[in-house]
Amino acid sequence: MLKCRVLLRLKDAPGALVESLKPISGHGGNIQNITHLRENSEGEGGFVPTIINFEISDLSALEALKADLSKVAQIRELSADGKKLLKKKSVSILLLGHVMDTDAKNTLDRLMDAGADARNFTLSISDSKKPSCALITLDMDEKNFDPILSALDKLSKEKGLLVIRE
Amino acid sequence: MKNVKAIIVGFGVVGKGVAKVLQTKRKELEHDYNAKVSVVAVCNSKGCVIDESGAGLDLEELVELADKKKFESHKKFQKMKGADAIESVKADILIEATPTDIKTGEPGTANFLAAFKSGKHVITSNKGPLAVNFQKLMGEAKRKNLEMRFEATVCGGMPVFSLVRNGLQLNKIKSVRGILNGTTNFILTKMLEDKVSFESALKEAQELGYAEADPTYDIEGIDAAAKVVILANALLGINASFKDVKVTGITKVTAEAMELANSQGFVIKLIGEISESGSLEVSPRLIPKVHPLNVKGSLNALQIDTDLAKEVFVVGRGAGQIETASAIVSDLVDIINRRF
Ligand SMILES: NC(=O)c1ccc[n+]([C@@H]2O[C@H](COP(=O)([O-])OP(=O)(O)OC[C@H]3O[C@@H](n4cnc5c(N)ncnc54)[C@H](OP(=O)(O)O)[C@@H]3O)[C@@H](O)[C@H]2O)c1
Repeated sequence: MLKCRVLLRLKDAPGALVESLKPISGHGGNIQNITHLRENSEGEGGFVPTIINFEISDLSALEALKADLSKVAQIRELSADGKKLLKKKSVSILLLGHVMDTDAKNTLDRLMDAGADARNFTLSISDSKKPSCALITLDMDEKNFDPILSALDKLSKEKGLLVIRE
Repeated sequence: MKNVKAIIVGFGVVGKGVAKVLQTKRKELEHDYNAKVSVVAVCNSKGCVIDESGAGLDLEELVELADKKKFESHKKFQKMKGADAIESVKADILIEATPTDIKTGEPGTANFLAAFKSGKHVITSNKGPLAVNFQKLMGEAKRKNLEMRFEATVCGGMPVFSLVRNGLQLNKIKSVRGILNGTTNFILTKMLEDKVSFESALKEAQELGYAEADPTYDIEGIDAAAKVVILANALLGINASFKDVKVTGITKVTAEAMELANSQGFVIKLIGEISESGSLEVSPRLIPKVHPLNVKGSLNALQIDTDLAKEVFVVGRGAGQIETASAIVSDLVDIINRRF
């Protein structure tokens, strides 16, 4: 049996936890305990970090569980027998300049290519002649952080954007 | 009683502040630290007032004269370069408070070297020599078994180096980041709170005396970069100088960007950082509103990450006459405790 620990980012809404437990038990996971880190939810925009400890037969069952679980919840960390299998990190960035005129879709695509998932994109335009700005929240596997930073660096130089990151 | 003789070179805002504090805290120095500090020479850009005879100079008189721009009318004034006075006058400690020149490090570097050559400890508020020549100057001080202290160079009255020296012994400093410049923090806070442009926030900062007539050093991140260099050398042992810092100022930050960041739970701050990988950077960054580095107005704040104590935060005033003098006299007392 593998001893597993998963850290989820759950919506603070009724039923969110139950939804996330289904794929675990569905793949034969034996849940040991659940901890809601409510005190940490303030900086998480209404999401509650939640840790679930469970046991499962082997790695292939865990892989299948992970695939199903990621459809209903955001997995931030996953480890089996103390070994880290996945560690996600969220980084917010603010782009300042002519964000739309310099092809915002291309900007996002290139960040995706470097390994980022854009979770949130908020644009602010006051006047089409003035610089606009966009705030993007990127989810990424921790190991992709450096490639994403260099992609951002390149984009900022090429498109004359000021990148303000977390 | 420990008799300590000091020279003050640079008698502007900071130099005069030190003179004032030495007077107001004379009793505490004698009673709590068993020390009598006499100032035997004071220099500005035009020359020096020197009195090696006995109890030292009358600091009140000197401050008054300097305030009236009549320093040169003192009966003991003589035309003389600071470095020459430092070498020739008998004293234990140099307090160096001349203007910062980030490119040449002068006149500070020459003053430091004159002090080491003639066996004097150095206490400074001047970032220039350290941003240009940190390792060379520290090496010279060590070679001569003298102290080189610079608490006042980073974040004025806020203890940083003494905090690490006296409170974080055995800790390995992994990374450091923070708000190292009060002027830009004042401007960014104004832009957010009053929803005004960078230009009008800068104008207000100038009117209130928070920003210089030429604000380039502050708003382009140069002042913060010099502090990053000093922190990197002193706390992380990185042999870096000013050219190693990637610097972006705040001139392009707009009120709209501040507003957008705010709506998503962030503020924009000019942050100086030495990362775990050893890279040095000054740039506008997003800081979560709930983070301890989100301090307002002209305050400075620093986060020190260590292996044992983990994150340590300090918040305080980064400039001001008496605040900066506080850092200088704390270095002075520490040297007296260790060396006299
Ligand atoms: N003000 C603050 O709150 C603060 C805080 C932290 C650090 N600092 C640093 O502390 C230093 C002093 O700042 P400050 O505000 O006191 O500056 P300041 O008011 O401009 O005073 C500078 C003093 O240095 C003198 N000076 C200039 N060139 C000289 C030379 N070649 N030899 C001898 N003296 C010379 C000036 O002489 P004159 O009087 O003849 O012009 C003046 O007395 C700077 O490096 C600054 O960056 C300042």
